[in-house]
Amino acid sequence: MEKQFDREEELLKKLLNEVGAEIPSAGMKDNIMRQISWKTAKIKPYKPLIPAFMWYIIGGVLLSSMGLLYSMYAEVSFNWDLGSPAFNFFQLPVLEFSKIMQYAIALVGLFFLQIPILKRFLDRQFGY
Amino acid sequence: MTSKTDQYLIDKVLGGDSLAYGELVDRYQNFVFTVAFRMLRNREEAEEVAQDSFIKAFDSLPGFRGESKFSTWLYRIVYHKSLDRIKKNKRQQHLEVIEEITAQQVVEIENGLEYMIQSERHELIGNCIQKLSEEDAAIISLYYFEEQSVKEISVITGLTEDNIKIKLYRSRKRLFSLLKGYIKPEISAKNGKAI
Repeated sequence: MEKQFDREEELLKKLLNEVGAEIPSAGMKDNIMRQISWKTAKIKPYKPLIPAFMWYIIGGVLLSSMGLLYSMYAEVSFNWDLGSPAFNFFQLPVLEFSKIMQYAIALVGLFFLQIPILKRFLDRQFGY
Repeated sequence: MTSKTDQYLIDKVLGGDSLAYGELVDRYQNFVFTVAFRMLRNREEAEEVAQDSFIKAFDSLPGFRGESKFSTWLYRIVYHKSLDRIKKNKRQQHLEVIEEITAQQVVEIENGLEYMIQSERHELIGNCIQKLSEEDAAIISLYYFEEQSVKEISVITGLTEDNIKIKLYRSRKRLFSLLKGYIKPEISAKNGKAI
């Protein structure tokens, strides 16, 4: 009985090894690797070309220079004398801003102010 | 021999080298597909299940603690995925009655198979395996072809070792019983000619 058992074992092992493994289609590995590469593909986090601190500097410079010019040449303004001779040394060109021009500048300023607000709104709407 | 060990490749994959996973796929794709095919009996479905198993294994790789061999862990995934697919398909399997096989009949089966040309033999064995239950087909392939131990098969299938031994015994008897059905007429025909 033991002998028969061994013989059956041996024969079955021989037969199954002779039949061998089933071979999947050639594209199976490619499909697996493609799906894996999708999974591992890292989406680079959004990095603006001009960093935030630079925008603050640009904004600050722009606003202060606008404010300075406005205070100097606006129709309603205080007498500008910063008390330093260095400021009087540089004679800035006299710019005359009409009322319309001032409104236009204010509107453009408002327009630029809307961009980050709208961007944040849209990100929240369609964001991931 | 400088073949990389499974653990070395796993470490590389976990380190971010997903291409190293390709080597693991190369190493195990045939047998993973074989287990799926023997259980599902359909090449397209088996390929789908094999692919899903590799993807699942990739996703779960950080949780692989190396307590068992990688192959055992992978076969466990494909075995259970195939069972899930079978359950989904609700496929019914009608099993043949097991006949008692004598020592003489084992010799006759062996001789009968010798007479056949290789391709015929492969087809016949393949057909007989397909007539086993899905579970038995997987267990018998793991044990005799992939040479996994009863303990490892127990980890793969989640069945007890005693249950595996019983299933192996029954599957072997069923397989011989099926082979006998094919071989007997062949032997008679050959003998008939000889006499």
